[in-house]
Amino acid sequence: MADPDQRLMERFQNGDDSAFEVLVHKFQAPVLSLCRRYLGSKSPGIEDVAQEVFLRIYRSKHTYEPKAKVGTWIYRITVNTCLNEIRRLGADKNRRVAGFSAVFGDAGGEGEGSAVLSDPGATTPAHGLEEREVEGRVRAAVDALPEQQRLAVVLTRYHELPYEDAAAAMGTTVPAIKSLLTRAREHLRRGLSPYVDGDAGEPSGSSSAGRSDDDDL
Amino acid sequence: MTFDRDVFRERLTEYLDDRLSAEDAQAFLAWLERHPDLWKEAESARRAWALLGHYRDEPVPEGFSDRVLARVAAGRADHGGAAATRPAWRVLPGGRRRAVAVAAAVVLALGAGVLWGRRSGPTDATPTGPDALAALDAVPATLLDRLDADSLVQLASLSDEEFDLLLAGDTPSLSGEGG
Repeated sequence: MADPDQRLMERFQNGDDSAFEVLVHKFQAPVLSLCRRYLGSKSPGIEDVAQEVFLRIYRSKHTYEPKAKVGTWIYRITVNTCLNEIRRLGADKNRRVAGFSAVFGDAGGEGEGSAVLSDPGATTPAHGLEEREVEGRVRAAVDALPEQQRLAVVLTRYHELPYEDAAAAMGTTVPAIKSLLTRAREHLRRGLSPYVDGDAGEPSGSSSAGRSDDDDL
Repeated sequence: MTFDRDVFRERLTEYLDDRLSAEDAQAFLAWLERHPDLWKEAESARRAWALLGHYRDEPVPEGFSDRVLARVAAGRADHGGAAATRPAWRVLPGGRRRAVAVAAAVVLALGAGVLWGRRSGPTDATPTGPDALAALDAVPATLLDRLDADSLVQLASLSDEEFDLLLAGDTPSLSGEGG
């Protein structure tokens, strides 16, 4: 058993609670982050939910099997705990409506944004837009994604889980993850259209589109 | 290499997530350069994906792990047979909050009984309860509508999660009869 997390879990399962403490310290940031982004950045009680995740981990330690990554198992518990919270509060729909308004506001959804990029090669918004405003818009756009799409984005983009692990954490398949991400990307492109719908240039042009390294497209 | 639109979008997702091999990525880019309309879509998608980096995470709240470990320790105490060395109210399932609610419910029941005793007599007034309820601000509103004598026993037997649901108003009734 080479995975240090699995060794920790083995100690934990054998009654060594100090191993659990190490797991808490190691996974507190990703668990909190996942709760925050999955439940919505404005949701109250994020910490309570994250605490509940660790309580469930503690109570269900014997359900862990070493064939799975510890991180994936913990993500799965986190996802389920968040899902229970969403169902318990019945707040997801309301939050998404609020998020939708925050994204689209009075400016409408597509096309005629007033803050289009002037530099087609830019990777971040220009025109003096405050970073905080951009971050707020992006948060709202992520919050406004349908639940499963949001979760797929959070797991793969922010937690950098391989598609296989994200699928395991969500209890779905890799093709389903790809489909969710593709649809999420389209939602985000529409929701963030003022920032992304500049003149994207042509492959033969001098903009970023002319580059062909792996970090750009 | 050719892609229909669905395959293009899926491949674009993999490209943007850096999940393609170098060879596949180069092939994808080469194909994309021959399709200017899709290049624009890809560029917009790349920008949208890049914007996700602006959603920064927040730091872990100070003392979070300590609070987690404290809750775990409290849970162990609740279920670990520590009743002999700890006050009874501290070892009730669900912890202190449960104890407070149960105590409040007992007071409520006693209050209703006192009222009943005071009001029964020649006029035989039925105990209405509001006078007693007014003194019990600590009792969650969701409980006030539901408590009766039998409920006290059921309240004490609820799991932590059931108790939380009860406080949140998501449990139809204490008796579990769906009413």
